[in-house]
Amino acid sequence: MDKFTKRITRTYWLELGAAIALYTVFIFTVMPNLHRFEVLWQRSALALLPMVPFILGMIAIFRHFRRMDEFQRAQAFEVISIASAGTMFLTFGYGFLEIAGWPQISMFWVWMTMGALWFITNQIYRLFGRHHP
Amino acid sequence: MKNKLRNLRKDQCWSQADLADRLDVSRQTVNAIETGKYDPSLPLAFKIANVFGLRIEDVFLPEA
Repeated sequence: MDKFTKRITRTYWLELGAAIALYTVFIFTVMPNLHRFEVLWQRSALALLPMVPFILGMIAIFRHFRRMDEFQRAQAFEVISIASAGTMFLTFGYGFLEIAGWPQISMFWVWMTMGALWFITNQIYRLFGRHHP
Repeated sequence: MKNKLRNLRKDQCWSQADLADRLDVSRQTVNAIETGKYDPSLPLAFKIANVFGLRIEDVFLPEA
């Protein structure tokens, strides 16, 4: 691996890893104890606590994009655009199916769909991507 | 846009990773430029020409 990629990858995983570690701690300590709080706003505030490391994770991803070189960045944004469009298509499509009587599924699936499409599109671009800005 | 990057690099006996280190970009980016999958920005094109001690038009050529 070249020095550039090694450097930005190491920093990215350090930052993202710290966010994921904190997220895991919150999930396993806060979520099982939510029922102990009877007041709705207290329960809601605690339920949203894992979103703090989530924001840290988003910042780590933004910072990683800024550290990428121009080709990597161009590729990453195209991949994300395609993944976003695919997610819109699938989630809206399923929304209409729900109206037609299909079972309602959790909104967590939106991100899982986006993540899966991001990964798949990224692999396709690695193999076949062409860029002429 | 065509370029002579691969030949220029080989003349110096550099690997793609060597050139990437000199340009402070990824090896993947050097490969994409060499294979014509990516046309670099003007600042990066100047940086590439500079590394070989050449003018930008000695490295990059118009398609037609």
